[in-house]
Parts: sequence; C-alpha cells; structure tokens
Amino acid sequence: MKSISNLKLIVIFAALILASAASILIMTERRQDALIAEIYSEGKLLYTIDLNKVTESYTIELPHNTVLVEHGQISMKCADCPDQVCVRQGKIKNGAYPIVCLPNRVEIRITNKAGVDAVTGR
Amino acid sequence: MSAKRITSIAILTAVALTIFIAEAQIPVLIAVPGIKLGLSNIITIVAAYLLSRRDAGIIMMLRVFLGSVFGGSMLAFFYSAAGGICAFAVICLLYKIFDEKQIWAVSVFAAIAHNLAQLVIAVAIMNSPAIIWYAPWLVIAAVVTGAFTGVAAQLSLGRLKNLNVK
Repeated sequence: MKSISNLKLIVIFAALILASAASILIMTERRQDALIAEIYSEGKLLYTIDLNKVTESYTIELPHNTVLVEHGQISMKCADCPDQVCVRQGKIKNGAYPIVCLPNRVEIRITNKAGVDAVTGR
Repeated sequence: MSAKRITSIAILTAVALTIFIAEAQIPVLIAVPGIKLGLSNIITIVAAYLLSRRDAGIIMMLRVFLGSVFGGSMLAFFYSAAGGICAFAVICLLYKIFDEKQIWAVSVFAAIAHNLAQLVIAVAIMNSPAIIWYAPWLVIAAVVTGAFTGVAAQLSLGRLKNLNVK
C-alpha cells in the first residue's frame, strides 16, 4: 500500500519547517514594554526582577547556576551541567523563549505582567 | 523465545546503547534546550523492520533504561522513555502505511512525536507552560534529525537484509 508519494511527503515536511520558522520569527521579534523577569528553580518562583529598573548589572547565585541580571536583559552566566545549553542560549529581552536549564530544573522567564512592584531578592 | 531472537535483541540493544553513549559525548551544537540528533533511534527503526515491532519495542525500552543507568539521570529517563514510547507508537501505526522505501518518512513522524512528547514532559517537570513555545524549534529539529536517522536506517536495512540476519 503506497498512498503518499515521496514528493508529497517532502512538500508536507517543508511546509512544516516553514510554518515553524515563521512562528519562531514572529515570537522572537515581539516587543514588550514591561520586562519582568522571573527566576524559577524546581518549579518554585525564587526571584522577580523588573529589568527596566536595573541600573547596574549584578549576578544571582543559585545552587547550580549563576544568573546575570542587566538593564533590559537577563542571561545565564554559568551552570554546572555538562551540556551548557542554558548558557549558550544567551541574553533574553522578551517573553518569547524562556532560558531553560533542564538538568538543574532552572528557568528564567520574562512575563509582561505590568504593575508588578514586588522585587524580591535584591 | 528462540536463542536467535534473544541474540538479535541483545546485539541490537548493545549497538543502540553504544551509539547512545557515544552521542552523549558530542557537545550539542544548537543552543535550544532538548535538541539532539538521536542516532540510537536508527536501531529502533532497523529492529522494527528487520525483526518485529515487538522486538523493536523491547530494544527501545532496554536502551532507554540502560542509557539512563550508564549515562543519565532519573530525569533523563523520564524524557527518554516518554519520547521513545511515543515515537515507537508512531512507528507501529505507520508501519503498514509506508513501504520500506519510505522508512525515512516514518522516522520523521516518529521524531516529531518523540520531541513533542518530551516537550510535554518538560512542561510538567519544569512546571512551566511557557516552555510549550519551544514547539516550533522542536518540530524543525525533528524533521531534520528524523530524516537523517531515517535515511541512515533505510540504508542500513538494505545492507542487513542481504546478510539474512532474521
């Protein structure tokens, strides 16, 4: 039983890649005014930081990771896991893609919840 | 269970495990969480077509379990098992629909199922719905890696059939 030709399959897969790439581009280019970073460890919210109010950059030490907080952006500076994926994800400036460290269960997420005043941790 | 079947399962499990451990030593090239080539899935597909689907399932679960024991963690086991089981289910479903010249396509669909299953597990483990936005990345990765491992499996099967292994 041969129902789908190779050509059709390639077209389907190419369309899937293009649609995914387009949605990634749209997500990445998204701008937002409020830059509230949330740092989670093991599913629990540890820090909430308004990145627009950060004037001097500083680091936050977690048990297995170090987070670099800067004005308008946030990144993972180092991690003790072997793959270092979270470090190479670089700086994030919007809510499109959270920085995720799967082995240590750490996540840095930017939300657009405006009006968050409670800045914990610092 | 015949001695030949046990031996075939054992050999293919050993091959899959070796590939799995070897691949774990290669640094990940893409800075997106959860993406890797998944070369050991070549063996799951080869086993499904060379032996039987049931044996392929046994080999896949053995490799996932032993792979976590030797080179991973409890967390890694959950990711691998969820991905492996979903990918295996897709292989079983598509087995009859595609012939042996379209194994590469079966592999792509299996890889998509694998990655999306892992994403759902990641959302649950990290307790973060926002991670679901990585879905497009994982679909692109699945199409590319699935096609690669699928072509590899298809070519390997062509050679192995001549050896009259079964």
